[in-house]
Amino acid sequence: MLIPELDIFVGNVFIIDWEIFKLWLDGHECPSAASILQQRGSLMAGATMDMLHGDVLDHYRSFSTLERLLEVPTLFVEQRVLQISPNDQTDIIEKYYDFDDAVMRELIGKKPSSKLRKELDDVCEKTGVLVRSCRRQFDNVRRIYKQVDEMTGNVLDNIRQQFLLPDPLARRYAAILFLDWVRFETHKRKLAHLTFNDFFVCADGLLRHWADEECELDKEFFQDLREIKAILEREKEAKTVTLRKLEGGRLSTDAAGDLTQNFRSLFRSLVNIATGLYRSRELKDLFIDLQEKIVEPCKCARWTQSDMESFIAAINFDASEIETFRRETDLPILWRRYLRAVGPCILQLFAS
Amino acid sequence: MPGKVKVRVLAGRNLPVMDRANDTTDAFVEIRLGTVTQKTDVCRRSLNPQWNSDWFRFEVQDDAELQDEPLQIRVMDHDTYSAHDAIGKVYLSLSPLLAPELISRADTAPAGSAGGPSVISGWIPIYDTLHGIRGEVNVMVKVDLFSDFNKFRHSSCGVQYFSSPCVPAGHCVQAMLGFVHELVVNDDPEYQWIDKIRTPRASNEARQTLFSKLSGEVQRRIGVNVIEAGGNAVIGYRQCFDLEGETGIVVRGIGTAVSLVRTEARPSSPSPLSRQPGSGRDRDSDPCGSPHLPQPPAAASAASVPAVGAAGAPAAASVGASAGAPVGVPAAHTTSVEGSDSGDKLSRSLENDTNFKAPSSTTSSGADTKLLAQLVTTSAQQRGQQQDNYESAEFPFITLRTFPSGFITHIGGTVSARSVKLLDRIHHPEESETRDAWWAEVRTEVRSHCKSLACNVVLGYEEATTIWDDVCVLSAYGTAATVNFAALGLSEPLAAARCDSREVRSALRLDASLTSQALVILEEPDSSVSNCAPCHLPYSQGSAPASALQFNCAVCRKSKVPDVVFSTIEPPGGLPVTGRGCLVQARVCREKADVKSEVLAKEVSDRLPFLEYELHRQLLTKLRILGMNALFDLTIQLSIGEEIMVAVATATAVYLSALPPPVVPRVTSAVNDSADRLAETQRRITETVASNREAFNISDQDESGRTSDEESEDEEDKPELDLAAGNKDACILEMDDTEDADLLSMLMSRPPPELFDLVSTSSVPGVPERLLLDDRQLFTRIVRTKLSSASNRQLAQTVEKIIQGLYFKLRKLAPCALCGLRFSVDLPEDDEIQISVYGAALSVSAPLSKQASLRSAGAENGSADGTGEGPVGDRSAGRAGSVTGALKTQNSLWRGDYDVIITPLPHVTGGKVERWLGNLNFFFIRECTGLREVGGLNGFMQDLITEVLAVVRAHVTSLGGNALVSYFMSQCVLLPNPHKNQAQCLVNVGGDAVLVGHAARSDDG
Repeated sequence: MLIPELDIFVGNVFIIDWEIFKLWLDGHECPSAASILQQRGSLMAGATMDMLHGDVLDHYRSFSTLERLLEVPTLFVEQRVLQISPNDQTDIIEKYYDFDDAVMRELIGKKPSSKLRKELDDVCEKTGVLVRSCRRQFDNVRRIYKQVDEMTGNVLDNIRQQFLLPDPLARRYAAILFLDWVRFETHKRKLAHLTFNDFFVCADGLLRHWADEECELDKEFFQDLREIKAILEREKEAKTVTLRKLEGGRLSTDAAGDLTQNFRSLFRSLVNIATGLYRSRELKDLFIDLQEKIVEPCKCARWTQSDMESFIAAINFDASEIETFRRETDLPILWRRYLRAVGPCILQLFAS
Repeated sequence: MPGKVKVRVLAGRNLPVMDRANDTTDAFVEIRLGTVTQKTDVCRRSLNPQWNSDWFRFEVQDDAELQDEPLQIRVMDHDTYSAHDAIGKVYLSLSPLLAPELISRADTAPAGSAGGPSVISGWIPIYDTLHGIRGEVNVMVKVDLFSDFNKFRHSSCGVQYFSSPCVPAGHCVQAMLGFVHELVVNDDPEYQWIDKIRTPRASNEARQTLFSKLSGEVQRRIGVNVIEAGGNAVIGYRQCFDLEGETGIVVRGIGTAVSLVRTEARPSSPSPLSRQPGSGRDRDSDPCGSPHLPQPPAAASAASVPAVGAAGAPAAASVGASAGAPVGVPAAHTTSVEGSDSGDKLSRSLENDTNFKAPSSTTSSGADTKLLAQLVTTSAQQRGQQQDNYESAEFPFITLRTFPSGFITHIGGTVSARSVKLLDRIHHPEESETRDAWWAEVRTEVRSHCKSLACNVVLGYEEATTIWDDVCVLSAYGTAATVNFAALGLSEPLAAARCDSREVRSALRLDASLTSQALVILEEPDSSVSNCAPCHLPYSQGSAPASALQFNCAVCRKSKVPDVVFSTIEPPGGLPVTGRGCLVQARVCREKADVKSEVLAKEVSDRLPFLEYELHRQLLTKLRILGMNALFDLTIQLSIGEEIMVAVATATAVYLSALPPPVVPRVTSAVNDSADRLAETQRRITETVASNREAFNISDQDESGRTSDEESEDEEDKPELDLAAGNKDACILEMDDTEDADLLSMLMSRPPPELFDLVSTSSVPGVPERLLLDDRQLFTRIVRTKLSSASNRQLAQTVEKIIQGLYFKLRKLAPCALCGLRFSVDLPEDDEIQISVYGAALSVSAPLSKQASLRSAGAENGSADGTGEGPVGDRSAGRAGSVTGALKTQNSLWRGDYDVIITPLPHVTGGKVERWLGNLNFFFIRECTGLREVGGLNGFMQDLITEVLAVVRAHVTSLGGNALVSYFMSQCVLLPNPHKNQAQCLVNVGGDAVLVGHAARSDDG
């Protein structure tokens, strides 16, 4: 078959073919996209494979024009080189900046450096997502990271305004940036089974309760949390209160038995994690600590998800319940704030 | 007229990084008009500079300069130590700002609400010939003209230009003043010695600037003629750039000079009736207000003009190729000016006549118009005078393709003339006489063809050149017809009279007796609204050559009609059509010797007649196989290459109810042993014809209006059968060898798939316009491929494949109708062919082939055209300024609100033109020195076309518009040099900028 030296099709209006756009986002090269479309039966009667191929090429060329513009979404909506309807503009940005959880799982907690970009082949191998798509996702993170890093003010708003992303997606990016900034340990073997969404839920919780709008963790709070150590003096009292609150079959037999025996170690781990957070090293290890010291022992003891939920609710002591708290009134506030973020993290890790 | 141009440069955005060291740009802007240049301050270190300049003023002594010179805005990067770097340029034509508001027929029109734009303002892409679009600049431009009432002025300021080949919506032609033409020649900067030492950018820009200037100059010169003739506008304006290479460039303009008035008292008032017939949007707004049903046959003869006897060729294409013996320029006619000089401001003094140049003078002035010089009046007598003047003019040509109902009395057929010329160097750029004389010859020939068909005017007139090496073929063609000038503006007062006779009287106060007079004449065209007269032969029965076939008209049964009609115009409104129209194309490819100069000229002129004959034969056969009997909107593309010549004729085939049903082509063969194959082929042809008739809803004719007269029906059928045996015109296909067999299979090209309709006309003939909902997309496809052999078959396959590709590319918009298709064919290299096609994809609610209402479409067309009434609901919208807003709020999702619509059609489907904002014409040059880096030729061209459209849209927006109608793309010259990793492309685009509102479509079911 003779391939024309030149064969282009240009419209005054940029009418996007979402199906081909998706294939492009997924990183398919032109021939593979064409054969996928063919398998889906996109050839009408009378159409030939080279028409389909040409069509995909036309779209791919305009997508690469689009891609240059999409680097700065605010310019993209202002540009008039391609005439795109306002609805399509929004959808295009959202789809371009959307990502695969599996790929993002590999990227979180690492600085988006050129070195990391070179390792995308591994990510591709691991996730089955084509390397072109991995690169796009990585470049998007890096772009947002670079831009938002230099800005002050509300991170979520910055992402929304600079990249014109819808709220849920902006929130996910905020969590990604947060995980990167703090450099949380997310890649240890013990955490390997966790998904991106697990980390998103955890990070989102930490952001909500421990950080300000600039995603800066409340260092003062961590310093204050050291005072929580005092509660360990009243460990017995805490145990009694907890067990009393969990009476009446709120725990499964396995968990109830385990808790009576191991309350001390669980409780101490929780408190130790809290008091260590002021050291950035331990902060980075938050997830691994929670996993190793809380989630795994309980899983070994065959706790159920609802056991864990009840337990977290039960140890959320208020000022009246523990003697220490009655004396030092700011301690229960610290403790409850600590648990508000850590509690959902534990539950999320436990569920996975 | 002296004038003042005021320019403000507000800001730039998204500029490229020019200073790599710190990733910024120190931008400033140079504004240049003619020889004067002014500058803004430098805005340091910003890609989004804010200049917020004061008004820069340019004082111009002569408005000619304003018309010729584009305003050049050049964005530069300031460099302290070396030369400033160019970022890019914007060329702004000032002519849209020079057009005054046209006189409105109604006094009530609020001033300034509906005239041309008063300011150019907005973001315009900065274009660089080496990099394409590089950011945008926000400018504001105003022009103040100091009108001095100098009697001796030769100013052509204020003449409006419309590319649209029809009377612009909202306007009415008061007088049609004649064919105007002008050409200027110049050296092409690309071939000047200085080009060897200047940079590619400087060279490209010199060219772009020159082209822009020449284009302005041609317009201005035409304008002078128009004003001398007492007109104020040119419609059907076409401008061409002939790139002759070494010998220079020629810019030609042709058009129809008219005196135009606005018809709308308020933009919200009843819509204009001067809108092209066949445009059904008028009707849409008032579906039941047009009581006109197809006229009974008896009424049809009312409008027929006494036929003039003449020896005419059959009403098919009359072709001729002249190798160029000079034809004597007809002696100058004496000018006769109507006596009733009413002191109209457009009148001119006879003394000026002495300044007129003869037709063959150096500037090729439009000689016809001054012969037609007359007052702008609407009296019917004067229209009669106008008709006489037009008919006796040197070139009674009209470049429009769409006409008011009743204007065309008879269509004679297509006439064309070609002339092969040898180009030689133009020594004095000021002397354009050679080219003028050439064109005069060709035009004279067309005129004589027209006369021999007993016709008095040529409609849908076109001119084109084909250049290869130093040989140039001039082609001119059009449709010979007889017309009735009395019908020109009449539909308008008619409707106005219906709405408010008082308004009419005040509007037409030029002539007190006018109203009554006009109303009397109204009867005539009105009764002929749905008649079949245009189909009738313009000459009497006896005078026709014996070979010409004649039949009784199937509608009125009185007059004679030919068996087939070929024409270059849109189907006249009201003409009864059966079924739907569809695209038909003939493609001929011939080998030619690779010779030079005189030998080449000889070679070309020897081959041309064969090419044309073959073209005609193909068209006729294809038409018959489609089961149709008329061609409209015929265009012919001729292209010459090193070893081949190609001609492509594109038209829309229609079944005219008045004409006899086409004969099924017969196959014969001189070879005896192929009887089986012959029978088989004959069967296939018959089947194809039948399936085509079904596909295009061409039902059995006997149902519709034919049954009334059984006897004549029989009489009609008999001669057909006889003629089929012996007459050449009865369509007999010879199949003597395999090549012929191949040809036959090629002739039976597939009809478009069910979901698509394909036509070259501005709407689908036989389909009421209300079924065409929305102008969804302007598409451009450019293919350049190897032609492995110089055979018709290979060419046909290539083009068919491109068409098939269109269906595929537009599959997600289906069902849709692809209208206004324009093809162009070039043979850039020895075995390469470049084919460009563009058109409008109109959305339809269901495939047209499925819509039951089509059967009565012809009748519907007839009833509504020319008498359609304006949108009733719009009246509530009230005063001018609020109309756009009011229309917008009716449907906030209409794409005209956020998109700039570009369409090759003269109207926006689904919209209503509210203001005409000026004619745009751009010449882009783009060069690329990193072809591979931009994705090869495909990437280069896709970017170029995308950016060209973006620049056009921005200019439309800056004039306050939201659409460009009658869009054209010509001269897409691509010069690739893959070995050097380079390419260059020239492209000429343009059209009419308009503001459209969303048409109320409440009546749509």
